[in-house]
Amino acid sequence: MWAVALRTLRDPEEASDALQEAFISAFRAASSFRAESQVTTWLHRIVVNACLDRVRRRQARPTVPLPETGPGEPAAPRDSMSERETTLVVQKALGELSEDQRVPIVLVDVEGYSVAETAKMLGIAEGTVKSRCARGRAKLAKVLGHLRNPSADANVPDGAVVRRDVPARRHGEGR
Amino acid sequence: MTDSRRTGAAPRPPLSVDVLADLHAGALDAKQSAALWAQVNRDPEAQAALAALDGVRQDLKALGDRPVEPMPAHFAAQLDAAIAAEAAKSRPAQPGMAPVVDMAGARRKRNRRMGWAAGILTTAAAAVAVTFVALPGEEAGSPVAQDGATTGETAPMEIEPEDLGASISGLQGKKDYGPLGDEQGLKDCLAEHDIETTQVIGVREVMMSGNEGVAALLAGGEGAHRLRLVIVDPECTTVLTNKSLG
Repeated sequence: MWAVALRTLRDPEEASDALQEAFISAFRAASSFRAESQVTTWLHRIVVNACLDRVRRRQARPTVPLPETGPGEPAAPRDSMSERETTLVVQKALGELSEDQRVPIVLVDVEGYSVAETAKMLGIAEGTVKSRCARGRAKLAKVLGHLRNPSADANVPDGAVVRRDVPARRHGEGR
Repeated sequence: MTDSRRTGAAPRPPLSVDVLADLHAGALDAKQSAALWAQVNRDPEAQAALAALDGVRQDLKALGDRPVEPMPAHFAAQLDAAIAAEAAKSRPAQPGMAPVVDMAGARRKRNRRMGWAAGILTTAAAAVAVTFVALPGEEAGSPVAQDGATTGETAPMEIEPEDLGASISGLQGKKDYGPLGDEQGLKDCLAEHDIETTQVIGVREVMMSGNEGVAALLAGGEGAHRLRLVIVDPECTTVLTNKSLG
């Protein structure tokens, strides 16, 4: 949950405050929990909502540009230099997304929640989660340089950086 | 593209990255999706764009797979203190203090609440994992930065010796060292009584059983306890309380 809060808010102090709010809120609401969902999902939902509340409050305040590297996540000591660089690049790219796109992408692609779980946590339709993830991934593909012609966003990608062989495909993942 | 999506018809080539991203994410309806996959499987550029989207997901998954440093100790201590304070507040009332009409019902309700609360505490503990790990470069005993931390503006707080846990919320984040002056004064005072100051979560002047004192909430108690409450008299000649909590 610390990772979710940190990746959503990108600021350790805010992430800590959000976790604190969330756990206190969960503690107070414990008696009303009806076991309709797993307790971890319920808690994650509360944590994510606490983070989203902070995001909204932050958006209402005058913008303070994040530092270039951002506090982000502290690098784990065992990371190699290249892994750290990749991590920083991906974190920075995530920062380019709007909150509407970043939060579902963090939950689905980074944290590994299903679309259905993410929709429940965010209180939005599954289709909305999918389309926000789609928009966000398309932007990330450009920002991260996976697409060779990132300016061609209106129509055809002028080719793409193919990092591995592409098998013939028939259906999307739709997690 | 937007028009074709609205009408339900499959977009014609060339396909935009946005349409391919929708297809990739499973955001299109079955009919559109089937028609598009047929196109994509004949279109190397579209396949390359899908591979790029796969690459994005791989990068994001790698970020998620990467081990995350535990929550910094001072944040974890704040979280522990807040949860402990909340737990102290929700403790069932002492017998005779509140009328209970339906004892069985009240007990069921309390047990349910305490059961879930225990679960939340367990999950919270798991969430913050190795709580008091000293991180490299982190100065032991560094003050906890916190909104609302105050200095010298709080009146002495009443502390009940029988209910020390209830004082946690009133101490958390306070930086009122009173006659001890500052954090160093507190450390010196506690050192005189062989009490190691790990990390100060909150400190303020208090009244306990009619005696003045300075209470300090510290990170790290004995055994499984995560907090320590120490109360000394204003001259730091006597330790009035030294108890592990939380």
